[in-house]
Formats: sequence, C-alpha cells, structure tokens
Amino acid sequence: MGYLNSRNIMITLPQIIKGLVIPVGILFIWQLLSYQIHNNFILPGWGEICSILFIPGEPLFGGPSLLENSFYSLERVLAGFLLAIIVAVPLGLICGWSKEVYTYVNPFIQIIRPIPPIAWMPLAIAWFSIGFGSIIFIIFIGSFFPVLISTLDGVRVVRIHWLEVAETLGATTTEKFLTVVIPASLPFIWTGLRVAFAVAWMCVVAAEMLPGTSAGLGYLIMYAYNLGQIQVIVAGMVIIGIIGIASDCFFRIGQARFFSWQGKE
Amino acid sequence: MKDILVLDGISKVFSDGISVYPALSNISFAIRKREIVCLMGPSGCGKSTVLRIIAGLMKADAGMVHSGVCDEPACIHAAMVFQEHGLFPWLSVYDNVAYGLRLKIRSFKETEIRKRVTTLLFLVHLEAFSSSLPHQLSGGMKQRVAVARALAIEPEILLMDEPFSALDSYTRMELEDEVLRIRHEMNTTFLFVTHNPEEAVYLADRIIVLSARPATVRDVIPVSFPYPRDIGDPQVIEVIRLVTRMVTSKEK
Amino acid sequence: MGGSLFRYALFLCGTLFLFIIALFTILPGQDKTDFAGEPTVLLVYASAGIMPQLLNTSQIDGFFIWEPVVSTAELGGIGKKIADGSVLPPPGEWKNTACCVLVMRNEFIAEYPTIAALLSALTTAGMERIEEDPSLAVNLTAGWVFGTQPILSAGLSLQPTDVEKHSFQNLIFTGDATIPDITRFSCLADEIKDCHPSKKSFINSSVALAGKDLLSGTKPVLPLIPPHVTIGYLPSSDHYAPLYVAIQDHDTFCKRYGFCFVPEDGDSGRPTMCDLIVDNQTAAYIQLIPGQVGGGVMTGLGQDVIDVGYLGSIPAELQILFGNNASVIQSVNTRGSGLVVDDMAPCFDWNTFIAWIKTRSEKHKPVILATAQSSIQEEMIREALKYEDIHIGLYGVP
Repeated sequence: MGYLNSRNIMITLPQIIKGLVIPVGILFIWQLLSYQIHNNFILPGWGEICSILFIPGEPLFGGPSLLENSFYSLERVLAGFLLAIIVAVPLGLICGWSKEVYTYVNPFIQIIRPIPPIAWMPLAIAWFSIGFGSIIFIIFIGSFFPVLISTLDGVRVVRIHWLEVAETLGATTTEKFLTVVIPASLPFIWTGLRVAFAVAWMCVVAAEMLPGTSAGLGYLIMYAYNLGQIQVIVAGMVIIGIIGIASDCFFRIGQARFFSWQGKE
Repeated sequence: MKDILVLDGISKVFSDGISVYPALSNISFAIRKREIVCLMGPSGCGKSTVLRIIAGLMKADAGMVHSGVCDEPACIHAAMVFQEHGLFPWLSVYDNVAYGLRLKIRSFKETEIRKRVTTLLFLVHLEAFSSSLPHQLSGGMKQRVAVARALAIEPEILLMDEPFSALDSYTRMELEDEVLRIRHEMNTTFLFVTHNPEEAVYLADRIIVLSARPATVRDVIPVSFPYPRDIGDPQVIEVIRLVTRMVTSKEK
Repeated sequence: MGGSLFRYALFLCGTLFLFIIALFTILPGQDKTDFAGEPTVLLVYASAGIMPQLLNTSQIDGFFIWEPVVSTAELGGIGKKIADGSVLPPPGEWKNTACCVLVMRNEFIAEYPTIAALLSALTTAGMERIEEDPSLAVNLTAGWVFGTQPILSAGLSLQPTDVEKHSFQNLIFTGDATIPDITRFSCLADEIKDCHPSKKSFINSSVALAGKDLLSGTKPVLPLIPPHVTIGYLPSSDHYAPLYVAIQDHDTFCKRYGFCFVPEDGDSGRPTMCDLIVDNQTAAYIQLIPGQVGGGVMTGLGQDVIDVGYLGSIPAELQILFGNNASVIQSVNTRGSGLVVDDMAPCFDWNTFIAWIKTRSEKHKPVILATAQSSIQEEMIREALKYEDIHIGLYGVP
C-alpha cells in the first residue's frame, strides 16, 4: 500500500491546500469561460450551479429535490449492492475453496462477465419491474463480479502455512474454513467491495438515464438535458462526485481500521 | 521415563508423476518423556518431512508412528512451531494463543481459557502485549507467541522446525533458554530440528543425525552434560565438533 | 477468534440494514397508492420503442405516444387504440394544432436565410408530395422508420408498409397548423432563467414565406461557400414523413423545383449525409442527426450543435421560453398520437377511459400510463387529465 498506510490517513493541511489548487483553478477558468461564451446551454456559470446546490431540498422541475433524487439513487445502489454481496461472497468463498465447484462455475462467469451491465437494461425491463426492479438488477450485475472475483482470489492466496498451523492445533476442515480462510480473505473481499461500489454507483446513474425511471440522479440529468437546463446537470454531477468520494473514503477508513495487518507479517 | 513417541521404519517417497524421489528410508527412533531431542542432518535431507509425518500433516508410505495411546499420527498430541511463526495476523496475541483452545475438539470455557493464556503469556514474558497484533511485534516476540500458542493445547510433544534460525543470535540464545525453562516448568517433551550444532548441543539430551537423501538414521549422539551448558567448555566444544563432522560428512 | 472484528462487522451490517429499511420507509416504494382515493393516474417515462413491450408484459395499463408506435401495437395484437390525440380535452384544443414543428436556430436563420428558406420549401413540398402519392410516401417512410425487415411483435410478424399505411390514416401533414399556446404552462421552477411567458414570440414566419416564394419559382441566392448544416429529428417517428419523402424521392423534387436533397449514401433506407442541390450546384452539406426525444434535439439547438430540428411543438416552445435562441418555422403535422390500452381493458373511448381510471383509483390500483418524457405527448396527456380533474403521480415517486 505504499504511502497509504494507516498512519498517513490523516492528511496534513499543506497537502489539502496543494490538492485544492487544480480544482480551484478549473473553477476559475470555468467561470471566465462561461462569461465569455454567455450561453447557458454550453457552459453554465457557477452562480446558477451553486444556486441549485445550496438549496438541495428545493423541488426541481416540480418534482423531487436534488437531495431526494440522490436518496433514490443511493437506495437503488445499496439494494443491488447488498444483494450482490449476499450472493457473491459465499459463492466466491466456495469457488475458491473447492476446485470442483470452481470448474463448474467458472466458464459461466467468464462468459457473462464481459457484458456491460447497461446492456442488460432492455432485458431487465422485460423481466423485472420498470424503474426499480430492473435497475436493481443492473446494479446487481455490475457489483457481482468484482466482489466474486476478489473473494475468490482472497481465498486462493490464503497461506497454506496458516492452514497447517490450524490443522496441527486440531482444527476440522470446517473450522479451518471459518476461522482461517474467511478472516484471511476479508481484506481482499473489502477491496472487492470498494471496487464494486464504485461500479454500482456509475451503473445506477447510467441506468437511470435510460428510459423507464422517474427519479434519481441519472433521471434528473436526463430530464434537465431535455429541458436544456445544463446547470442542473452540472449540479447533479457534483453530487455524484461527492457521493463517490465519500464512499471511497468510507472504504479507505475501513481498510485502515480493520485490515492494517494486511501485507505485514 | 517411558517412550511417548516411537518411529518404526518410516519411509516416504515423493513423486511428481514422472520421477520418484525417495526421501526417507526406514527411519526408526524413540523419544522419552521430558527429553529434548534434536534432529540434524544435511540440508534437504528430510528433517521437516519427519516432523510433518509425526504432526499428521503428511502420511508415511511405510512404517508406523506409535505414541503411548495408539498407532496413528492423528493420535499423537503434537503441536508444531515452524520457522515462519505462522501467527494469524488478524488476531491479537491473546487470541492467537487462545486459538487452539477455542476449537471444537476441546470444550473450554472462556474463564479457563483466560487463565491458561495469561499463564502462558507470563511464561514467555509477553503479558504486556496481550492485545497487540502480530505485525507490531519483533521477530523474537512473534516466535514466543508461536511457542505459547503451541503450548496452550498442552501437547505431549512439541515439534519445532528450525524455529529460531531466522532470528539474530541474541534473541536466539534467549529463546533457547526459554525452551529449557519450559521443559523444566511444564515437563514438555521437545523434538527440535536445527541446522546449528551449537544450538543442538546446548539444548539436546540426544542428537539424532540423519544422512543425506534418502535419509536414514546415521547416528544418535547422547549429550549428557548438566544444564545449563557452557558453550566455552572444551568438552562441549569437542561434542559440537563431533556433531558438525557427522552432519557434514559425505559418508553414508 | 477475531471477536472484535466480527463484532464490528456485525455492527456495520446491522447499521446498513437499518439504514436501508429507513430509506425504504421514508421514501415511498413502488406500490404506494394512497392518494386518499382521489382519481389518480401514475405516469411512467419510457422510450417509444419499449412501450408495446411494457404493455404486453402488463407493467403498464396503457400508453400515449406518437405514430407509428401506436399502429405497431394495434396491428401487433398488443392493444387497442381508444383515443386519437385530437379528441383529448380541452375540447377542440388539438383539432388543428401542430403536433410536430420545424425549428431553426435564430443565428442560423440570420447567417443563411436562403438555406433556411430552401429547407422550409422542401418540407412544404414534401407534404404536397405525400398528398399527391400516398402509397409512395408510405413505402418510403416505412423503409426509413423500420427498414425492410418484418417487425416482430409479441408473436406476430408485421410488414412495415402495413403499419405505415395504418399510421398515415392518423396523420395530417400541413404547414399551416397553429402552434399550441403554452402561456398557460407555468414556469416549472423559479431557478430557470428568462421565463417570461407573455414576452416570447415563438414563430419566425419570414422563413416559411421565403420558402413558399422559392416553391413558386423565385431563384435562390446561394451563399458563397456551402455550409455544413445539421438537422436533428426523431427516427422512431413517422411524423417527419415530409422530410423522409423529400430526401428519398429527390429525383421528383429536382425535376419539379430545381432544388432537392441528394443523399450521399444513395441506397440506404435512412441516409445520414445529404447534399442540398440547387440547379446542379451544392448549396449546403446536410447531416441528419437522430435523436431519442424532442427535448434532446432542442437542447442540441441551444448548444449550437444542431442547426435545424424536427420535433414536437411543446418541447420546442418550452425551451424557447427558457431562453433557447431558436424559432418555430412552420408546423409539420397535426394528429398522429394515440392512446393505446390493453385489449382487455374495460374502455373504448376517452370518456370510458376516464371512468376506468376512477374505478381503478377506488380500488387503490391506479392506472399506469407510459409516455415519452419532455414530448408533446406528455404535455397533451397531462393537460387532458388535469382537465378531467385526475391527479397525476409519477410511478415510483410520491
């Protein structure tokens, strides 16, 4: 993990300032350009964008507010994400542990994996309910594979050494699985969750842009596009980015708190 | 002193499907209670294999392992300490030592576990590090935890596979004294694999020397000096030289 | 064995679980139908293409959309059309009101007035051609919208020309229809700029007039360098048949008027690049840009990416209201929308449809209707339902 170990999670003030230089610079140039172009359809000014961002509870286009739309999107992501975890983690553990099961399951996974989740949308709409069920399915497909594969890998790289120690101390095969394999592969699973969440978050926004939804950040962006309200689109993008960063921080902190032992023995 | 472990004609052959590598050939020896027996031999001769067969991690192709109770390796109540400490990095020192006690084959209550683990941590002088994680300890401390973990299940025999060879000399000497102390206080029997003739002579009641592959028992050297032994003593040095010659000699 | 880790994991799972439960209870789910028994319709936004599928899988009770989707559903045995767009209340509202219009960027009109006039002329000429030879128009439009392969519909296979023939019965192509009056639409939100309903003039009639002049023989004055012009439209709709016919039947137009579209990919049923030819000279290079909904095409005009658009009148006017620097040139068609419900639905016209809505609302199972978001169809159905005092909710939102 290099310089990102638990001690360096606390970022120093100079680092924050340096990190802000480029974003602030871009904001500045953006605002200049928007004065220059003077076309709200091409580059809205930050005044308009912020007026949307600073009152996120205000209804937009006569419908749900920015905040409510964010919750809708988050709700879908969490539902699909959790579903994926519930299915993928046990499956990954079993596939990593048992060669037999892996031989059966792997070809199917390799075939389905490359298909982008969004491509499933038309089928999803037909099989599951439009709006909610179909989007959950897309999220599920998107999150499933990163979690499955990292769990699988986590099991495979468990040190045989530890298993031997457990054996000599009298552990049964089940106990070896529960008390050695699972804890040892948890850091890998955690990384898989982190990747899967990022994928799921991107999927939900894209899926909501497709016809069939009536709420959510992706939907809001499409709606705003159809009405030519680009400042709402940019506000939506900012929220999407904030949630993405927040979730990544959550996983980082978890990594530092629980898995600081990974890679050091 | 009764025999708590008897190896009778143990042979082992490794095969990769194409060629066959005889590793052990007709290994026989016995270990008595409270003995410290050191197993030595040229590199790669199969010392670890012997230990693994005794611990039940491997099955012999011929021969039997007897313990006082029954005739299969699974019956030997042996715990093993490896050169790599093998501590579970996600468990604290306390939980590592308690690991064996929490397994299903032993039904221990938490209060009993606490008593036993605390005693052992005191024994290896690590009582202050009970809640530390392994990666926060030094190499020597980690090995001590590994020893405590193995001792927690009160094995009849403690198998040690070059446990101190990765440590610096001072730590090694400390830990060698620990072994003697543990044998004294807990009446544990040790089967100790080492490359180091000094270590072997310092610790062992008997030194079993294996030949090069396919390994047989070349010689059994008794060491009867009183404990603690003085490495500077000429007689001790003589035995060390003898052992060295025996191990490195190319004769069969 | 790692007791603290598992405890934390459990705690985390528990919190997450509670959080999700909270979200699900605070935010309404999909089946909240309690509007105090008020007659309600739930709208679902979907793309035109999947509406028949949604109806067929009973995810919706009906849809209100443009042709030829309506005809596809009817002929494909998926549903029945119970109302034409022109009968929707307020009464007489949609009788001679433009459904789709031709729109152009004001800067484009100012810079290339002749090209603008030529485009308007060809659109008008296209309409006249359709009247002159309907079966040719049907064939060309079928080829454009559907291609040559049969259309698969839940169990049936339809010929595109059959669908188009049926659809044309529901379409009137005219450049003289009045555009709907949207001053009654309130501004959607205060943060939308330049929202002055009474101030806006939506139409630029000079272009259509100039177009008519060209059709009667006036010689166009071409720009020195042929410009690159982008035209946005919705290929899933046959409302733009005048455009399709003008492009595909270009020989007739060239002979008759001396100016025409000549597609660069001559054999394609749906060309993307054309040349605007005037007296054997290239006057402009045309690129046709397909869109999904009218609102999107209009935004393209606002961004100066699209110069000319064929889209629904309401989305066009709304955006002009919000500051889009464009103008309506002329109407393209009236009618051409249909309300389709399931074959088994207990209604056969608009009034029985409203009665059905009320019955369903009493049973707490409101009717679910699909429409295209930000289209004229959406505005029409919303207007009509409001007129009938039906509350409108969004499927999945309170």
